[in-house]
Amino acid sequence: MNRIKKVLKKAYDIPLSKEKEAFLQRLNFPKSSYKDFFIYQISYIQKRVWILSTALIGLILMLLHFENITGDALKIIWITSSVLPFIALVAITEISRSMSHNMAEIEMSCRYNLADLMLARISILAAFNFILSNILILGIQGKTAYSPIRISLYIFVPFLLTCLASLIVLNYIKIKETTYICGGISCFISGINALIIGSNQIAYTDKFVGFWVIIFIALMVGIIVEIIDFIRKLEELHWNLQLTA
Amino acid sequence: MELTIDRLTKQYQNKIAVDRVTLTLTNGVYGLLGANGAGKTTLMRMLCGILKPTSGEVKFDGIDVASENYRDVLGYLPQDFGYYPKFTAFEFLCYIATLKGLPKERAKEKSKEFLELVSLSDVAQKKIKTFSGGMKQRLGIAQAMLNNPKILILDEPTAGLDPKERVRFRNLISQLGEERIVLLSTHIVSDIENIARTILVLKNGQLIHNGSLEQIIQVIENKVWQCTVDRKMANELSKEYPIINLRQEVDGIFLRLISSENPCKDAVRVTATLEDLYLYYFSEVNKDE
Repeated sequence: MNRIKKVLKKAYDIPLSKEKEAFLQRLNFPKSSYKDFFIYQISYIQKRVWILSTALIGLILMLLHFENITGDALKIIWITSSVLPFIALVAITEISRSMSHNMAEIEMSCRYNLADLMLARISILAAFNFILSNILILGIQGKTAYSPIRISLYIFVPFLLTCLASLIVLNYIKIKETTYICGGISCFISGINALIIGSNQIAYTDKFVGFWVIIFIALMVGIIVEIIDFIRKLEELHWNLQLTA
Repeated sequence: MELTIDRLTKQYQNKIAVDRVTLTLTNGVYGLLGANGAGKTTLMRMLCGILKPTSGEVKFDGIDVASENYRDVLGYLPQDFGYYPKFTAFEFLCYIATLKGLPKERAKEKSKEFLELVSLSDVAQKKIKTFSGGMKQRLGIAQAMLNNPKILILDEPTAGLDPKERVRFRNLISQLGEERIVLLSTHIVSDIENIARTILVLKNGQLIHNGSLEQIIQVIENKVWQCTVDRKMANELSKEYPIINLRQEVDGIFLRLISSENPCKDAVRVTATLEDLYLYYFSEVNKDE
């Protein structure tokens, strides 16, 4: 059979393709699925986001290691919870990238529009920060008398508060410079947090655990509400006086 | 292939940016003319589904503007777009291609193809922040074309292009218009004059003209005059008639104006152009600005 094929190939000239380009232009190539799109977006998260977030977690773990503070729960909370708002800031700058670089309008007009894109970016960053958080908890575990859940409550409240405040800014302030406002918020929360830990140690006693749980849950709910609002608002441009042209 | 726009309106508080625009667009190049604030960009944004109309609807072959399937056949170049500064031209196109639903390998192929088409292959690996305005604009045109769109909407696409690039761009748009709907807005009247099959004139959010160049020029046909007069006469004529052009010459002041009858004894009637029409309609607006 193969011999016949070879002989036939030699016997006849292969005809030149006609209107190949026009045919290819008309052809509807298969599109990528949302899953593919989601995976592609991982490669478009800026390298500095991965590096900075990992470096900040590394910094916390190093400080905890070299400070030799095993047993000093407040110092552990002080160091960790003061640095975590900056990890939130790194994630927020990535989320607000489309708006700060004026890419939103093009991204809104694509098949996978800005809302799809943001959902992907937020999910990727949330998953990454979740992994980093677990590494952090593992690193802290055993260094204090507090359980991992209780220490998580204390260290993640300032982080969640930064996320919530920044999302509110992104939702209600439509200017390119929101990143700077979020930077200010992170510094403010980090600073206030450091001051509170120094002067209100009573807040970390058993008596107030319920209060921390309520704050933690309220912040989580607030973040979910703001994310939904954020994504919903990205489905279309919101009218302002600059859009009257 | 038909894009239907039905009583499309955008109102914000007491300002009506687009007022009950009704249109049906088929294959070909459509030029959208209008002064600043006429509602061109608002109309284009609504046609792209990125601005929700107050009322009215936009459909392409029955597909609603808000659906993914509509965006799948849409290419859009905004008037004022940015870019991620760390991206190279190639990375930028690959990124947009993934948003347009192209699988990664095909995204790379198409990005190379369109960089070639807009003559940016040599700088494909250079960061966009190093590009000139014209290069960025060409890159913007390339991104709009990546998904081989059936509807191509270009808001001020020739802004920042030098005359040579503009000619190339016009030729490209003419080709693209053969098998898709192309709607472009520009202040450069000659661009529209040269490539648009149909011209749409928008004033205060309303569509005041929709037709071929010959049809819309009818409004001022036989009404365009030229004369060279002294300063006193020039002042009088300026008060009485819409002036299209005024320039100082050796023997007096040259005027090009619109009048239904002979404005002065030395005036000569000349052929009307689209620019005359544009200036005639939008001279009041320009005075206000």
